[in-house]
Amino acid sequence: MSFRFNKGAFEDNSFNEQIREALTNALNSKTQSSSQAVPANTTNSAATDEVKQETRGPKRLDILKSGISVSRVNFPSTPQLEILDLDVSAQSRSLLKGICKVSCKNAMLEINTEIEANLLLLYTNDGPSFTTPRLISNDSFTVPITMTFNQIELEAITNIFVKNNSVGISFNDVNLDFDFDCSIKLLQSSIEKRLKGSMETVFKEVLPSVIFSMSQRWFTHGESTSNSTSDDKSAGKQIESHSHTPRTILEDCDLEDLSPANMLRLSTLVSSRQSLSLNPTAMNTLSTIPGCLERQNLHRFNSRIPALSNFYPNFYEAESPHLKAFGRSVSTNVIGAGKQEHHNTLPQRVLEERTYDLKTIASVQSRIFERSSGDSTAARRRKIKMGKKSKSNKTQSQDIEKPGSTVALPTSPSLETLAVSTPEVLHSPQPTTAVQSPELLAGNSESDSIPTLVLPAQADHYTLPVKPSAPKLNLLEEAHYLNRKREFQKLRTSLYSPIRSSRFNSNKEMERPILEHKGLSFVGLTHGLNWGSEDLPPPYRG
Amino acid sequence: MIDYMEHVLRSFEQCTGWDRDNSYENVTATSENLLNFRVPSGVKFQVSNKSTPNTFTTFELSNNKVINGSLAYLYTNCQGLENYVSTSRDILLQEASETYRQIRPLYPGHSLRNPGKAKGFEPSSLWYGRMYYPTSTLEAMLVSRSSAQTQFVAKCISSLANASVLTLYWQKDSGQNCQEWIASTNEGLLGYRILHNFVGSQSKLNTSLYNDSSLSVGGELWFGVLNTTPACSTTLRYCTHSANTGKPLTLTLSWNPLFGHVSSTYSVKTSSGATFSSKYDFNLYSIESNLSFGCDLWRRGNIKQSSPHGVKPPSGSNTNFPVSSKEENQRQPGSKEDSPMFYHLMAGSTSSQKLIEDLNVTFASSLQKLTKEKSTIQRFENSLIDANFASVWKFSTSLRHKNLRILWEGKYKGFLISAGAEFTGAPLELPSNLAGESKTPALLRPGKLGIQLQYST
Repeated sequence: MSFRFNKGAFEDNSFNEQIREALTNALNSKTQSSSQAVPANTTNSAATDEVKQETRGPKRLDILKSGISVSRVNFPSTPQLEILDLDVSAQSRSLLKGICKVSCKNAMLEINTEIEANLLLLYTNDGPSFTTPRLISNDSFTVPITMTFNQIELEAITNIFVKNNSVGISFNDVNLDFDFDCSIKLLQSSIEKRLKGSMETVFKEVLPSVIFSMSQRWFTHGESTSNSTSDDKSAGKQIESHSHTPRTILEDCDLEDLSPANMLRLSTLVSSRQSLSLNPTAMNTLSTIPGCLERQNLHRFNSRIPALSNFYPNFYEAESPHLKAFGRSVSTNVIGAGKQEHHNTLPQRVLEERTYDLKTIASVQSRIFERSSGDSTAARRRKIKMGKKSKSNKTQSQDIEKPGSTVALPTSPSLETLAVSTPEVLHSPQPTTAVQSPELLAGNSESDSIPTLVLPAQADHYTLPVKPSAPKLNLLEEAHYLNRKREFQKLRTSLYSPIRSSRFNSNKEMERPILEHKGLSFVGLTHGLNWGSEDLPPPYRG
Repeated sequence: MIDYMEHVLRSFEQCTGWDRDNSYENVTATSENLLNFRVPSGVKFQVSNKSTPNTFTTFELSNNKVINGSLAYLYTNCQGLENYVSTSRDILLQEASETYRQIRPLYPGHSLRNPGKAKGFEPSSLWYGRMYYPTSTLEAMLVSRSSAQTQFVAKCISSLANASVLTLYWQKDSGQNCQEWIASTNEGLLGYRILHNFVGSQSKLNTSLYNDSSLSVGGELWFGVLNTTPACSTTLRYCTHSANTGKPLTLTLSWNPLFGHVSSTYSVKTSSGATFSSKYDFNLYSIESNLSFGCDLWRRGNIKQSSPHGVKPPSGSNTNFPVSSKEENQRQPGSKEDSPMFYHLMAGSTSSQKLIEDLNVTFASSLQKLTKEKSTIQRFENSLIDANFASVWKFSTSLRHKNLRILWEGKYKGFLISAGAEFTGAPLELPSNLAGESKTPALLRPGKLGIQLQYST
């Protein structure tokens, strides 16, 4: 979530003018309901001239005989807003919750109005004429009064709730200090006392309700966010600039207003949660966010787990047509690795072609042992007698699969292994069975087709083909990702086509794929649409 | 147009000998009537009835955006009130309409207000209640005359929407001084009013022997307990007749020392069918001023000889202009003390009347002048009383408020009709400094429009 102040609005005088007009309108609309929001006169002299023309207004029990005009406003420094806490995923009723500290220094405010001198006239005019005795020569005059607030210093801790169509603010800890100066010295002390007494209601009731109604008006009327200058709720406004419709969709300008770096980060976070984005966002890194593993990087994580199969990925590639017979895609053995453990087995082709390396196998197994052995079981060494044809080095892997699971495994009928160290022997229909990994076990029953292990001396010829898998896999994933993105695009336009069917057309998407992707993520986030669960990616289908 | 219930109340006061003009509240009644007359708004229809000599009812329907109604009952145990209350067919227009108030001077030793009732005063009271629909507002009033000099008034409003208000008046009128104590629950308002009438006395400066001028000074003090706001004002009133033409005129000068407000009025009845009034307001503190004009023009109808009370020939009575001829009838057989208007020469002694007659020879020229002035004034007043006015136009305008008010009142086939409009320049609902400068009113816009029909039997 990101928002920023438009500093320019504070630096030039237009901010002060805006405040002056807004204050004048607000003060006058409060005093009379039939205010027509005519901009007030700027000078006090003009006001008094008009008072001379027409003093006796309608009868109302109002000591003010004229409207309130704010003559001078001066905010020399930008009001500061410090975000102490921001909770995006707040309660269900509010989209955003934050705690802010607002501070404002050295401000000045001057208010002009005119008050009725004869209070009794007001009361007698207000009362019913039947019971009110008539007073002779009970006329009056108006007194212009100027109130100046100097050195206003405000510091407040506020709670901000951004709801669906409004902004709620509650002031918790308000420190307000100002110098008060009134043109009628007789009234200064009493006015000051009353002002200080009513400050609590101002901050507890008046200001929150005013801000609430104002934000409601903004949201429902959908004003452009270009003039969002002083408010700390610009973020909320940008989230929901259109509340005529219950759903909120970001405009392009909204996205431009947001910080691109934050949006990118957010979108990657969200897309990783959706398990839709199969596009690795950064190459050769396990996770962009430290400490958490993203799903699309799981295969990379798995590829670094020491296992025999990781050292010979080429041979698995070669077996892909065989896998496709089961209706699986090429990338299944990588993508689907989230559910499928890497098996500590050598591919059959390795054995057939005798391209394995005993040293590598030994190091792999010892690494597996080192990683997994938290318990103090000593590694049992098994002596392998060389030269015996019937003996072969069996590669064992740990079988954690359920017996009925149909996880694609490289079928290696040549390898017949026995689980030795596990207390119960699992006989799966697959010819591979896993053995507690650290052990190097020799299979009891061996088939004839298994070639004998090559001695370590021969292993020098073979290079370890560890890395070349990644770019190739990425290419494959790209193709799938593009396919799927088109599907999503179709789905989304069908959902939102009445509103903005033109927004998600394809050429635009091609222009700015990242932003589009981001927008998609936000739509999903704000409405809780679980794309991933509704629309399974193809590897999981069937 | 005076409402029927208000008419009954005034008749009650007349019947019991209470002078409402002697209250400080009505010290500026003349200029108020001419300048700030009430313009009806919407359509209002009022049917009133004197069901028994002691009970009166009024039903009222008004349509001011929504249809409202009210039902009013009035009961009084005052004897002889039915002679004062007249129906809308018989009532004189100058009685039914608020207009110039003729103030009669106070002469020492004479309670001129109730010459007929001076001897025997009977305590009487009046109960009044009105229910408004659909707002369910109840207003009630109790007027009680416990003694000849005191009157107690209690008014209250009970409503669902607004706070209920109770206002109590205790009024004591000794002729020379009229004091009132007022307490209201509305903002805890407490008030004291006093009006002092100077006894017309002989003066060296008074060149006119025939003296019916009256000078009154009054003041009021108010204090709102709940809002701790004080108010006060003082007023000087001078009523006299023009010596040459006999036209009555009234001057008032009011001053509010708290808020520095000074207002002066000058009202004159230039002829029997026209009255003019002007008022000048000035505020010492804010240097704001206002000038208001008002006038009413009466139009005579046919001389109705079939008037039930008849038109009395000019008598030597001391006529009170708004007093109906009917009351004059009752007073006519009364005492001789009504006739002379030069009590100030006699200092209240009836025995000195003989002296005056003796002096007739010696001061023949002065007395001739006196009778000439007296006859001029009396002729004028009688012409007012005799006049059978058919309609009246009232206009008033104010320079600062930039408004013009027009009211027409008249009688038509037994109906009392009052129609009026108010035109305002500036839009009132806008606050002064929010009204755009481009909206400076070039033309007057109609702000209020209404017609009121009244029928009573």
